[in-house]
Amino acid sequence: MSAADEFPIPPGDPGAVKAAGDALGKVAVALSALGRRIRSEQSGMSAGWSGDAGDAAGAETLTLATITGDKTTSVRDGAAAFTDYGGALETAIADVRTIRRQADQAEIDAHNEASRTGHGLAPDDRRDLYQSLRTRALTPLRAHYRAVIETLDRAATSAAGTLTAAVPEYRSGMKPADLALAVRDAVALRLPSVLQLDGQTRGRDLAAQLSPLLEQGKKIPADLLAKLEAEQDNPWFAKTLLETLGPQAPNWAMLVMEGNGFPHDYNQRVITDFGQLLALSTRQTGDARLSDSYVRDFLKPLDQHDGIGLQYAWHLGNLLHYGGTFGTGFLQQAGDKLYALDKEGADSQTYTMVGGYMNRPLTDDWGMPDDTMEAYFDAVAKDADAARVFFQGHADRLKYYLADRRTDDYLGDDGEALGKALEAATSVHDDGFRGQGSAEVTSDLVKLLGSQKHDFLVEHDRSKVLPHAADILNGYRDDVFYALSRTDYGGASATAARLGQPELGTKDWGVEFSAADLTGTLAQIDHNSEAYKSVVKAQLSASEEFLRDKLAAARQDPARRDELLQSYARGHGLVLKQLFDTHINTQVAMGKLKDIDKMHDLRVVDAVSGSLMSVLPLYPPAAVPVALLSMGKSATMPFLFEGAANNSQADANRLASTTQVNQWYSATLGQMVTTMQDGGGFAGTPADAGSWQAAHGVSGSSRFTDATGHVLDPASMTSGQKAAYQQWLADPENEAVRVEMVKIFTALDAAGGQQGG
Amino acid sequence: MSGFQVGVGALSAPAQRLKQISADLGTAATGAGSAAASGRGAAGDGRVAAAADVFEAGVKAVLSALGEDAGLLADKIQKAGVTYEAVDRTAVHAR
Repeated sequence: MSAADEFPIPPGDPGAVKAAGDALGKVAVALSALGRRIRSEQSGMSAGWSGDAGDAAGAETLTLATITGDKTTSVRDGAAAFTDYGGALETAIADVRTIRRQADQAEIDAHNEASRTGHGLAPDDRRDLYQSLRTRALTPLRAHYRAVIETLDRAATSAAGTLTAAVPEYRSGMKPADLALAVRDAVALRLPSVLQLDGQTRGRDLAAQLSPLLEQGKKIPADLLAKLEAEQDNPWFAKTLLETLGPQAPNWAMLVMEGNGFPHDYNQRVITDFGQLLALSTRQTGDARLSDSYVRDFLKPLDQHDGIGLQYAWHLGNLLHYGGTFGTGFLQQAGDKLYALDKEGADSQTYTMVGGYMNRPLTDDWGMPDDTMEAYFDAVAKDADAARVFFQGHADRLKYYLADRRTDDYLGDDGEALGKALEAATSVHDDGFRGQGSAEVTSDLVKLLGSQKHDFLVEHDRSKVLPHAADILNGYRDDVFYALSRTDYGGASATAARLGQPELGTKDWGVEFSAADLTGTLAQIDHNSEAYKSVVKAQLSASEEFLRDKLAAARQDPARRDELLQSYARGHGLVLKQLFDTHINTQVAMGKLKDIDKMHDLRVVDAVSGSLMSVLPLYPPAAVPVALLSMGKSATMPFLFEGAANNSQADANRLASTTQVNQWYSATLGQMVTTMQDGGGFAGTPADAGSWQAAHGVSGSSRFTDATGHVLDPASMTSGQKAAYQQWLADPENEAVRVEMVKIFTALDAAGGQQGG
Repeated sequence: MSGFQVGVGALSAPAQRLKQISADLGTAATGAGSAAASGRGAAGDGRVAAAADVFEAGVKAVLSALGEDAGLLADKIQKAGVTYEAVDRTAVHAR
C-alpha cells in the first residue's frame, strides 16, 4: 500500500455538483420572472374585473404569485447549497491530491534517507529507521487531511440542511412519494384550484374502489378508510366521493352493517366518515356544495310514511350525531321531512321514532340518541339559522315537541337537545329578519309555556328544557323587565314579537310579553333553582340598564329627573315583587312551602327565607352595605316582611336565613346607589361621591372612586376604601345619599301597593 | 351587469398568458428536478445525496402543482369570460 492510499480522495463529482447548482440558479431566475408575470396578471385582472368571481380569481392569482416567489427563494437556496458544496468538494479533492503527492514524496524521501544514513545497519534496523522517518513525514499530512475532511464534512452538513429546509413539509423517514403528496396538499390548502383538482381526482379514484365493496356488502378495508379520512377536510373530495357513490350509499352502508352484523367500532368509524363528508359538503357555498338533487334523493326515503321511513330516519340520526356541523339548507330540508314523518306516525298511531323498533344500535356509543329527533335537535343547536327556521312560524311544532309528543323516560334526554335547539333558534338579537325570527319563536314559546300548569315541563319528562328557557328569557331581559314593571298598568294583553324596545329606544327585535304568559313561564322555570336564579340575576342587570337609561334622560331634561327616577323605582320594585311572588307561589304549589299564611311561625319564616335564598344570586360580601338599606323591602317581599312591627317579625329578623335575605336586598339597593353615582345621578349634590369624599376628608388611597368618578369594584377595594364606601352608602348623617334617594326609595316602598295585576 | 369594466374579451389575454405561465412553471419543475437529481448523483456524500432526494421530490411537486394551478386558473378565467359574454353581451366599459 502506497502512502497516498492512506489519503483517499473524497467521493463525488464537484463539477457536476456545481453544474447542478448553476442549473438550479437558472431555474430560480426563471421562477423569479414567472412570479413577476403572475403578479402582473393579477394586477391587470383586479383593475378590470370586479365582483365575487373576479375577487376569487384575483386572490388565487396573487397567492400563486406569492408561493412562486417563496419557492424561488427555496430553489435559489438549493442552488447555492449545491454550488457551495461543489466548491467545497472541489477544494477538498485538490487538497487531498496535493496531500497524496506529498505523501508519495515523503515515502521516497524516507526511503532515500534511510538508505543513506542507515548504510551498514542490519536490515531490521534500517527498516525501523525507514519507518520512523516515514511516520515523522506523514504525521503533519495526516493532520492536514483530517482538517480537509472535517471542512468538507461541515460543508456537507450545511448543504444537506439547506436542501432539506427548502422543503418544510419533509419529515424524517418520509418516502419521496409521501413527501410529494404532503407538498401538494400544502399547496392545495392555499390554492383552491389545486384543492378542487386533487379532491375531484381522489374522490373519483376512491369511489371506484369503494363502489364494488359496498355493492357486494363487504367491509371497507382500513387502508381505504384511512385514505378517505386523510381527505376529510377537502370539500371537493367530499362532494365528488358522495355524488359518485350516489345518494343511497350512506344508507346502504348502514343496511349492510345491520345485515352482516359488522363490529360496532367499524360501524362507528364508517358512519362518522360518511357523516363528516355529508356535513362538510352541505356546509359549502358555490360549486363545492353537495348538489340539490343529491340532497333531495338522499332525504327522499324519509317520505315513506308507512314505517319504512323510520329506518332511514334512524340512519340519518346516526349521521347527524357523528357528522358534526351540517349545512343550514340540508338541516332545514331534513327537519321538514323528519317532522312530517314523526307527526304522521303520532297522528295515525301506527309508529313512533321514540324507541322505534327500527332503531337497532349500530355502535356501542351510549351517547348516540335513541330518538332521531334528539339527534336532529342536537344538530340544529349548532346552527342558529337552521334551528330558527325549524320553529319559526311553526307553533304547531313547538306544541308537538314540548307538549304532545311522547318521550322515552328511560333513554330520553329530558328535553336537553330540544332545549338547546330552542335556545339556538332564539339567539339572534338584531333588527333584521333573523332577529324577527328569534323574537317570534320566543313569543310562541312563552305563549305555549305560559298557558300550561307550572309543573307541565317537569311532568312531561322535559325538565332539562328549563335552563334553556331561562337563557332564552335572559336573552330578552330588557323586555322581561319592561313587562314585569308594567304589571300595575299598561301591560300587554298578548305576547307578540315587536320591533324595537319602546322604553330604552333600542332597535332590535324583541318580545312584548303579557304578564300572564311571562309569569306562567317563570313558574315553569322555578322548578329549577339555578335557572330561576339566573333570571333574577338577569333582571337585576336589566334594572341597572333601565336606571342608566333614566339617568341619561334626566341629564337631557333635568326638570323630569324626579319623575323619571320614581317611575324607574316603581318598576324595579314591581319586577322584584313579581319574581318573588312567582317563586313563592310556585313553591307552595309544588308543596315545598307549606302554611305560608302562618308567618307568625318562625319555622315558616325560616323556610320562606331559605327558599328565597335558593334563587337569589349572591353578591360578593364586600358589596353588602354594613348598615342595612331596607327601603321597599316590605313592598317587594310582603309575604316575608309585612307587619314588621309585630314581635314575630322582630324575631324573624334575627333568623340567620332572614338576615341573609336582608343583606341580599340591601346589596341590591347599594348597587342601585352605585349605578346612580356612575350614571351621574348625584351630580351637583352632596351625595355625589366626589363631593362627599372631599367633605368627609376621604382622600388619596382611601378614595373609592376612580378618576372618572365611578365607584370602584367593591371586591377589589382596600379596607380603607371599603370603609369610606360603606359610610357613603349608609349616610348616617342623613344629608347626602339618603336625601337624594328618598324619592326613589319612597316610590320603591309604594311599588307593592300600586300593583293592580 | 358583467362585473367587467373593460369588456369580457379582456380576459382572453390574461387567460392565454396564464396558460403560458403554466407551461413555463412545468418546464421549471422539470428543470429543477433534473438538476437536483444530477446534483444528488454527483454529491458523493450520503447526507447530501439524501437531502438532494428530498429537495428534488419537494421542488418538483410544488412547482408542478403551481403549474397546474396556473392552468386551472386560466381555464376558469376563460370560462368566466365566456359565461359573462353569453349572459351579458353589453359589458360595461370603463368610463
